[in-house]
Amino acid sequence: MAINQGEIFGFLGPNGAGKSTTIRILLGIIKPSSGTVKILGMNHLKNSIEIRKKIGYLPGEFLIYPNLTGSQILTFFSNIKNEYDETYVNVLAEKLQIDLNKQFGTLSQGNKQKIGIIQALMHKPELIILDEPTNGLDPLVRNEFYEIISDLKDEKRTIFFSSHNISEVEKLCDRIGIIREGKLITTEKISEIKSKQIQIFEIEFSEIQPRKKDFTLPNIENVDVSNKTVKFTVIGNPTHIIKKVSEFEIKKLITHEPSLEEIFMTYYGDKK
Amino acid sequence: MKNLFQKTLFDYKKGLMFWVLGILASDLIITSFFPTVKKMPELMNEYVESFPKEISVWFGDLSSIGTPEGFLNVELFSFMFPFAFIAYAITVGTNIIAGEEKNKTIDILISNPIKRSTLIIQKFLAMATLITIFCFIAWFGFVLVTPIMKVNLFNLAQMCINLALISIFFGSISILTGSITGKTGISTGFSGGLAFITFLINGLAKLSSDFESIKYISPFFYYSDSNALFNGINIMHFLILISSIALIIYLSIYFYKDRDLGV
Repeated sequence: MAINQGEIFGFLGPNGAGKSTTIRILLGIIKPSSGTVKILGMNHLKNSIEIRKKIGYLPGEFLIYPNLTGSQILTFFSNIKNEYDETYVNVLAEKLQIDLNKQFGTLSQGNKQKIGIIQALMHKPELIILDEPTNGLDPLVRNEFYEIISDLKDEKRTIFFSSHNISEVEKLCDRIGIIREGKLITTEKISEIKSKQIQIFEIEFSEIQPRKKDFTLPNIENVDVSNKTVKFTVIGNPTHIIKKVSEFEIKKLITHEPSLEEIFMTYYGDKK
Repeated sequence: MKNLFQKTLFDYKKGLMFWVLGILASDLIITSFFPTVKKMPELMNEYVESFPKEISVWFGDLSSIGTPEGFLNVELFSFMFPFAFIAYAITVGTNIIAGEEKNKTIDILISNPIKRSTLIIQKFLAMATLITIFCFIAWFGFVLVTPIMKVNLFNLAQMCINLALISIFFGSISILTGSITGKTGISTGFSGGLAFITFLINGLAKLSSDFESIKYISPFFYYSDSNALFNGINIMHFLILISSIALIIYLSIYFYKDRDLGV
């Protein structure tokens, strides 16, 4: 798997798939059992300090020293990073509307995460690694976060974005990789995934009561029957389905483009 | 806070004040009993003889309790101060290494450009500094109470150096166990248990000639054998403790630098 400079790469997978483990390997917190990682052209074990100077990391739950204030936390990390753009910190703090003088331990989950966002971005890193960064955030803070990511996208920074929330990946990322049970299943551009011929049908019949087995046809998945209504997903050309259902009187037929989440469930749902 | 050393000292700033007051209070309270003990030598001798002689191997030479040095040795430096300071050193040593993993703060710390060896060294230095401050305060307290009890302050300073070394030794053991396991329970339990067992070994070795040779494995032997309050530090014992601490910290770095953290 390779991530291009300047792209936002979504790293998708269900809980327990290995997203955080991958990130912890990238950060040098744990060692890979096999294989190698190159970050910014450098071996991640041999040049770990050099690499970490150029990385910003934000986990889903930013846990840090509760006895320090936001300002003390940022000063401490700026000294460790040895780089600090004070103006940018103030811009972020203002944008996120966070009081840096309060003790970290007294802050709400959302405000703690805001400190984490500033900590990850304060040195304007070349690579930003985000591990389910919006976990536990309320919708307002989440939107503020999305705005910041969009700004970073405009600045052509490289972002590795782990999430199990497909809609936010759809909103932010250029390309995604899907991981399941520790294995990378595929990497694709968002635009390519969405161009796959997947359509969702919802048909309500006037008289007959459809049976699930009537819809065990090629290219059909996720069949859901309820009373006189059937809902299913068609992958590819739907002509044969149209022909079959047109034998009966149809009261209502709805078809729509699926969201990325629906595509994900249909296309990758059962793939190992 | 420019680095982990300063940050660790900052973390213990509040507790430090209470400890300083506690140590000064201990100095004062214990010293205030000395004039009474000194005035009643016969009563004290009777009292001392009522104890089994074996107890001296752990709690100091009771027969010298009528002298300022002997009094301090029995009341503070044989048991109370070493175990209070060792307990503190173990608590700090555990929190600063294994505690980072328990509190899940290690991921953010390690994602920053800091070497694992630097992390261990700076945190060790912070723990050693805290203990050194306590030992200086313990010594300084006796400078303040000189009008009540005149003790050889130079020898006392050397005793306090020994006290600092034995405490830092066990604090370093907790850093080592934390570096190997990342578990606070193991770090505290092992270090505390080791302190207790080696304390017993040092006493047992004095009780029976059969066990005499095992005293060399106990750090308490190097702490107490020279009886620094009377004779000053034994340089060889001093160097053994210093070297042991250096070796423990080296091993801590060795095990920590390649270990998977927070798993």
